[in-house]
Amino acid sequence: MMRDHARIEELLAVRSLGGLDGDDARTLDDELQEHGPDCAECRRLEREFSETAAMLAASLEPQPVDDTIVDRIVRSTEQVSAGPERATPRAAGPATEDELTHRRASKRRRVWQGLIGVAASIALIVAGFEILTSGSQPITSTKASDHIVRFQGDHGDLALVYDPGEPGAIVIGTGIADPGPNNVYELWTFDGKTPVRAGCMAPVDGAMASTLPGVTPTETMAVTVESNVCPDAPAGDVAFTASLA
Amino acid sequence: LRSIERRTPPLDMDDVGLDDQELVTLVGHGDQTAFRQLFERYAGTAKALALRVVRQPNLAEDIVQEAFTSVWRDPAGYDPERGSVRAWLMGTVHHRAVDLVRREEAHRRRADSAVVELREDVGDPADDVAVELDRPGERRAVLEALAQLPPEQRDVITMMYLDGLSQSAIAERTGLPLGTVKSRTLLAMRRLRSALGDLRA
Repeated sequence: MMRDHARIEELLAVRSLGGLDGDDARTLDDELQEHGPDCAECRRLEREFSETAAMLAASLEPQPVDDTIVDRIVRSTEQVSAGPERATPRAAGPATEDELTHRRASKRRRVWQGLIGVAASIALIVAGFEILTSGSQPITSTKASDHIVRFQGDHGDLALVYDPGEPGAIVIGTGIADPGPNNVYELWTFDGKTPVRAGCMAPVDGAMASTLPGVTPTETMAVTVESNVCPDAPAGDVAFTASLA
Repeated sequence: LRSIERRTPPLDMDDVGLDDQELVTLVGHGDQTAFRQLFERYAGTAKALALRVVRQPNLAEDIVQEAFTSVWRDPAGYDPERGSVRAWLMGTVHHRAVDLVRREEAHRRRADSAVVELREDVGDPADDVAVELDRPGERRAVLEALAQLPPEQRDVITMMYLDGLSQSAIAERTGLPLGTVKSRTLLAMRRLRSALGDLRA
C-alpha cells in the first residue's frame, strides 16, 4: 500500500531550507522514523529538496576566500600527528592498500587515538595545552583560566573546556560509541528548562575534538543521539549529562 | 607520509576533469590536490551563502573553514545516497550559519552589516547576471527560476534560506499563519525543483 507523503513532503521542503522548528521538527522525525530508512519516496523527496536548496546558493555572487585556509586545514592535521586515520567516503570501493600502507594506517589510528586520549587526560589536570579541533580554529589554545567539565554517561569519556566570560567551548572525547548510521551526537545547553541546540559532532574512530564557537555553557548540559540533520529540539536518547554545579 | 600513502599519483584535476564525488573519494585517501580543487570549486559560493546569512565576513570565513575542515577530516560524512557533494557542502555551510545566527539572534545584523554591501539577489535578477564569474549559466538559471516565483513564495524562500529565519520567525515577522508559511514554502520548492531539475547534480 502506498503511504501518504504529503505531510513529510511539506516538512522536508521547510527543513531543506533550514526553517523547520518547534513541534514540526519532532513530527518530521517521527514520520520519517515511522516510514523507515528504506522508504524510497522519503529518500527521493529528501534528496531532491536538499539539491534544490543547495542550488539557491548559486544565486549569490561567489565571494573571495582567504586561500591560506586550505593550508591551515591540512597543516593542522599534520601538526597533531602524521595524519589522523581518514575514513574514506562511502562511494569509495574496497581498500586497495598494500600491507605496508595498511600497517601505516593502523599505526596512524593508534597515534591519533593516543594523542586525543592524552590531550583529554591532560585537559582534566592542567591548563595550557593545545589540541586539535575540528572547528573554526584548527588549533585552539586553552588557558589557565579555562574550566573543564566532565560529562557523565556510558557512551565514552567526554569533556568540555571553556573560559568563563568568553563565548565558545571545546568538546573532546575518547572511546566514544558510534552513534549509529546517519546519527550524530548533539550538545544541548539550557535556557531555563528549554534545551538550546549547541552543536553536533560525530566521533572518528571513537575520538571527538570539536570547537563550538558560539556556545556558552549553562549549569546543566546534555548530549543526545540525534539524526544527522541536527534537529532543533532533542528527540533522541540522552547519552551524556553534565552539571557545572 | 601523506604523499607516500596516496593511492594515486598527483593529478592536475582541471586536466582530467574529475567530478565532485571522485574528488571526495580522493580526499578520503588524503589527496591534498583533490581537496584544494574541491575548495576552489565551492569555497566562494560557500562563503557567499554564509555571509548572506550571518552578515559578518569574519564569521562567514570561519564557517567556510569549519565546513571544509570537516570535509578534510571526515570525507566519509558524505553519503552519495543522500545527494550530491554540492548539496552536502552547502547544507553543511547553511546549517552552521543558521545555527550561529539563531544562537546570537540578539546581536544579529549589527552595525558592521552596513559595511558589507550585500546585494538583494532576488530583487532584480537581471542586474546580477553580468557580474557572475563562476558558472554563469547556472547562476542565471537559478536567478530566473527565483524571478518566476510568485512574490509571496519568493519572499518566504528568501527569508528562510538566505536570511536564516525559521518558519516560526517568518510567521511572526509577516503575520502569516504558520500553515501558510509552510504551504508557500512547499509550493515554491516544488516550482524550483521542477525549474532547476536539469541543473541539479
